[in-house]
Amino acid sequence: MRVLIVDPSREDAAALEAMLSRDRTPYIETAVASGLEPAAVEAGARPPHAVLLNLDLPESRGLTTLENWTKRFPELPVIALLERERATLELEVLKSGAQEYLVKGDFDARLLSRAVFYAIDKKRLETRVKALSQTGLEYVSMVSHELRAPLAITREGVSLVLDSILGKISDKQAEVLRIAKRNIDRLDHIIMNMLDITKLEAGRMVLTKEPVNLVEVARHIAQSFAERVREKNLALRVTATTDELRVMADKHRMIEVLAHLVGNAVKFTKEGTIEIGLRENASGEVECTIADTGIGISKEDWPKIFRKFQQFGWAPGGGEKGLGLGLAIAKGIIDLHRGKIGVESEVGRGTRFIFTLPRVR
Amino acid sequence: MTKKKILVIDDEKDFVEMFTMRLRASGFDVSAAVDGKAGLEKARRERPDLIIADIVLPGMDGIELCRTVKREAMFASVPVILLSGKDQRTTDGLKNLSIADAYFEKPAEDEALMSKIKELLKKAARGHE
Repeated sequence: MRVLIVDPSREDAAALEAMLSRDRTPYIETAVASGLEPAAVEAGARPPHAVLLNLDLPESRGLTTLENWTKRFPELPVIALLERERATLELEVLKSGAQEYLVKGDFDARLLSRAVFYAIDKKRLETRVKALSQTGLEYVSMVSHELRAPLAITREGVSLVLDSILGKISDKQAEVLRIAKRNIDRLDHIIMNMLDITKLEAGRMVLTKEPVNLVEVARHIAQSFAERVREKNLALRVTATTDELRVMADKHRMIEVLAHLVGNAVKFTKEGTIEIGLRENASGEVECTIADTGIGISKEDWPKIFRKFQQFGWAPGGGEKGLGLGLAIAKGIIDLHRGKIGVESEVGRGTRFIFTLPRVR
Repeated sequence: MTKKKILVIDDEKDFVEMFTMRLRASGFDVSAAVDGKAGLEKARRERPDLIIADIVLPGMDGIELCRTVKREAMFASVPVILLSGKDQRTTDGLKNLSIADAYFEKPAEDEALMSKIKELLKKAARGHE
């Protein structure tokens, strides 16, 4: 087995070599490099099974070293070597791509070899988990695609009867079919959400960006929710400081974000107003606020609000439960656009979702 | 006035059956094919007034079919509508290619699709005068 030691100190490197080769079965072969570049050359020429990486190298220091290395050699298990004073990097190091870490002066030969074997096995598991996760996403995506065609056909069938094309139907029959059609649309909505979330998670959502006037998008959304808002006796309005507030964005995804946010607002508001507010904030960004006078979200729940499959509070009106993906999708899209999204809320008073995107002229 | 003839090309038989019922109820004659090649042959034989095709078809897909149809003189004034079961993005991409006369997603809002069919047929008829 081959271990690559990357340490600028010749003495420390020699000590590590000695520790690894002492009484070892199976025999461990070592190679030494004093910096990132020579290490990269060595790893490229003779790939090691594991890398003992001192984070403070001539070319870079600390976490940057780790990030540089793992970017170039993502498949190699890494044991980070921390100098005593840098021991506080422990947790960060594990989150930044190292499988294990050792603090200089705090380990003996036994611990060192254990760390090496552990790192190799951990890397194997990480690779496996990632592969499984990708497969899972592909599976969900494929199934979701397949579901849409039969759904479209079913919807068309229901429409045919509902539109009296196959003969006149009674009012009761029409009512039942309308309910059926509405639920088919719900199903399609859920499937579309599943497709979107898998795209976001797999990093497969592609944006087609162009200058988009968010005020126009807001008005379009307001119109599409007009009927639902009327049914619930709520008011929905768009307030903009100017008629044109443009951002560089994917128009359909912007419509989607607003649809999710306004949809939630309508769902969780029993009475009062939903307002889509648009303005340019102090930092020159376009700021969009969806404010409602609904049931509100308690402070403990704020950090969880954008997670998948989260459902909060009782949604009045029954039959409106969804999968809990809308906010996760909205956040995913805003993040992809390099914008920011947040929430403010008071239980019993209402909620405000605010997102910002850089303005373009 | 003779009934207008619409050719529907889609490999989903159930969809074709439903859609045909709706078109017939609207007063059209309908014939169908399950793939691009058969669709093209039927079109040449029957000379439809309008063609509706799904973009995803075994063998020659809807886009290829549309291009072929548009190239042939005998179909010069036959409008083609393409249906896509995918998402808005594909529809927009198709629109940018501008090969067909209209694009709709499945499931299509029946009213919108029907009125587009009537509009395109009217336009084609006027073109003959």
